[in-house]
Amino acid sequence: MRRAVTYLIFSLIVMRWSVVYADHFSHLFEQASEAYENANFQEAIGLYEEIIDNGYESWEVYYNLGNAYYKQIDIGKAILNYERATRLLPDNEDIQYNLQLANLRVIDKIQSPPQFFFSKFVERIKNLFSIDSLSMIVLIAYIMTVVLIIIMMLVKLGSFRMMTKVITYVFVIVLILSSLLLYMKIHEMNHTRYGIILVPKVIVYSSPEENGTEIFSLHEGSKVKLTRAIDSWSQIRLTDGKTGWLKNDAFEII
Amino acid sequence: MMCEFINKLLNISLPVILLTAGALHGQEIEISATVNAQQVAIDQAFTYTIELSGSKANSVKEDPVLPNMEEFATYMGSSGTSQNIQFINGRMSVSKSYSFTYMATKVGTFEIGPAEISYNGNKISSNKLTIEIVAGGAGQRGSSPRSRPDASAQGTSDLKDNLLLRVFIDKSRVYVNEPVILSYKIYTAVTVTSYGISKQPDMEGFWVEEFELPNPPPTKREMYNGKEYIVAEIRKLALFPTDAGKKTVGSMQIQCDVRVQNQRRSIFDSFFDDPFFGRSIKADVFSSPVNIEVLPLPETGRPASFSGAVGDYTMAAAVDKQTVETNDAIALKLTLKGTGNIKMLPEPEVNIPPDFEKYDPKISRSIERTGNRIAGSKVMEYVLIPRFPGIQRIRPIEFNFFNPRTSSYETIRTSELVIDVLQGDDEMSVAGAGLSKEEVKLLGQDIRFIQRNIPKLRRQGHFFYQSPFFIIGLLLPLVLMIAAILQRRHMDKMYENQAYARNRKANQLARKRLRRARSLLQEDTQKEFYAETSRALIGFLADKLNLSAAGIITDELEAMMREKGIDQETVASFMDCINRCDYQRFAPSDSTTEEMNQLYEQAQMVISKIERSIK
Repeated sequence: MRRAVTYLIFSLIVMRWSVVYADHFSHLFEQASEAYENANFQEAIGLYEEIIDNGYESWEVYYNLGNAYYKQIDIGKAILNYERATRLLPDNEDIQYNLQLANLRVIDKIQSPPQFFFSKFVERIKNLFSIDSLSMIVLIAYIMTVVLIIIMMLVKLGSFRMMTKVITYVFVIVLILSSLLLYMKIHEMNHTRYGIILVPKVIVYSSPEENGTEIFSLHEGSKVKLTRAIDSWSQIRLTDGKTGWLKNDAFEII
Repeated sequence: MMCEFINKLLNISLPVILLTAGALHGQEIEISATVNAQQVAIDQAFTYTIELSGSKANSVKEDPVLPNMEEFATYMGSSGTSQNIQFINGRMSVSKSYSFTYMATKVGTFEIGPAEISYNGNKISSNKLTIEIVAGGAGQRGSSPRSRPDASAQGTSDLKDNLLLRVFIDKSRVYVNEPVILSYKIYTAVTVTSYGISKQPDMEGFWVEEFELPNPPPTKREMYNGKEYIVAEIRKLALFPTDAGKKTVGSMQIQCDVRVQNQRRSIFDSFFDDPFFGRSIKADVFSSPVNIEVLPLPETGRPASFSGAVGDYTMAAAVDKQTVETNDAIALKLTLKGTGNIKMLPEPEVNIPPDFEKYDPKISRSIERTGNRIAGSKVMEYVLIPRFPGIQRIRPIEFNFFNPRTSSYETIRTSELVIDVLQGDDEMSVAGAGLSKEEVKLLGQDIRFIQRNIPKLRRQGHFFYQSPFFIIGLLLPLVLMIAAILQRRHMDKMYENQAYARNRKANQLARKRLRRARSLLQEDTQKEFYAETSRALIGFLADKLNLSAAGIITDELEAMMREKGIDQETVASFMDCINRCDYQRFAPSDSTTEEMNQLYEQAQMVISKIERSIK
């Protein structure tokens, strides 16, 4: 118990401190955006990357960096950063629009099989919230449920009792659904990794070796699901079901 | 000329006579044997046919056992089987016939024994036949209507040694798909003016390539069996066996026009015969059947990608351009050259990099059928369209074949082809093909502008659900919850204690109040009496139910009492008391002491009743 409390206090201090430290990078962000506006895309890229290299992130940084790469016609990196922005903020119109534009310039047209209505629906709901906002919803629903139960336990409500009960049930349902969704998202984040091809062209082999049979080739900007890794090779799967092995230096994980 | 015409007519009109209907075996199978002529000349061929009919004829799998005819005829080979299935009024009738060719060798009348066929373990025999073999030219010969019995009557027996058809093979043991060169040669000591093939040899199980021979065939002199012949090669074939096993090439029959010395017998003969000296007779000659043993290709050393090619080949690949622009076509020409079955040659697998669009190859073959082997080349021309710039490599193309000369498998491969693909003018290749109209419109647009608002930066990989706030947010309500549960339990205990205490004291308190009311039971203290009685009653009930007396509404009391299971009468009595008290308190009227007394009594009774119902 005492150790937990110490940890809590410590991490609170660290967070406070890091927010202060982040101010420096806010300044960098402003500089980068200025460079972008003056069409100094290379400089803007350098500055945005510096923020990220120092271990900070926000969807705006990724989005702006993606834009800068797009302007430099570096489509692979543009898509990589748009995808990273999407991960932090799944339902933003600007990100999705630019990502769509960038994807048009990708050579490989990978057909995704049609999805069932239900899985499509779940996917939509999942993309509606980021992990953080979902965590917030879980927390609020949880606190509200507890508070309402406490109130029902301690206070005589008379004719309000029924209404309070109904509201509590609503919060309980919200809590269950959002927790489930949060679990799914965290699980997906930790177990499903995607990569973006960053080299102009790469050959996908049937086995993790250079003299394996060539199955097909992929071009810059294509999104692949990473399913396994052996040494410097990764097994990938495309949305149309094709699988194969490619070298790790051909892509970057989103 | 007239004579020939009549002869022809006679031949056609002569019915083929079935001697007997054949042995019956139930209704299922009937077997009957026929010959195409009852009378044949010596050295002439006749056909012996066995016909199966009946509903089960189709299920007979075994070949019939032929009667022994060695005494008077030699077996020349099978001339085929035929099958006929008919449905008449829903009934199936099947007939199957086997034909065999024999050559008559001895003069006389002979009996042909029954042919046998086994079906379901039973042997079924056919009818017997008789055949008459005559010397010299013969009678009704169905197969060669143009033969002139009178004319050939004398010549044929002399011809036996003077005209031969011999067949030669270059080897009798070959591998599957390895060619056997079959050559037919006429050996003659007489003058042959022309010849025609009247029966093709049966070559089942072989793929046949025929050599081109000069026409007329060159002749040479050769000694055979101590006799000098003029030899001409008339037919040369390459046979590629399609599967392993022992195989027989049937005999070939040719008919020759042979000029013999004219031996005039009558004036009419010379009149009908050709006007030149000497006359022509027709003679049938047969080759003997040939046995070939076909060996399967060895298992050892067989490459995995072996596709069945046998022979000796070389391969070359070339592209027409080394440097090409994107979306410009190039041609890859793959040439396979060598000896073997060119027509059946499989195409080697060509691995074209996926950046090329590949079209089906244009295939052309050229086959040389001269000399002593079948050779040639097969050219496959692939049209390739590179879609993306860069150095593209076409990996070496491999081809496996079995070389029967060395009895081993060989693999040949081409060298790697390198093509330098340059960026063409076409814009589409950069954008990527297959865009919809809408997408093309989108492509012309610019991306949306960057975000200028300074964002809230956060550590990478740190999520809210991992932050201390979230953890506190989860733990704190839990702590509160525990506190609330404890509080609730405390409250319940307190409430229980309080209720118990009040319950115990209720009666005591009520009696005290009633006693005080009794002291007020006088004319001038009416109001006080009623107030005190009312208070005693409500207070008692409040104590019993653990309610606060102040907040009680009389309407609620009634419901509560019923809930506690107090009987209707008591409730009514109680309510009556309360109502009367209230009435007397707020609407003063002069009530008698008697009335007050009666109320007092009623109140006492109600309290004791309730006391009894609620313990």
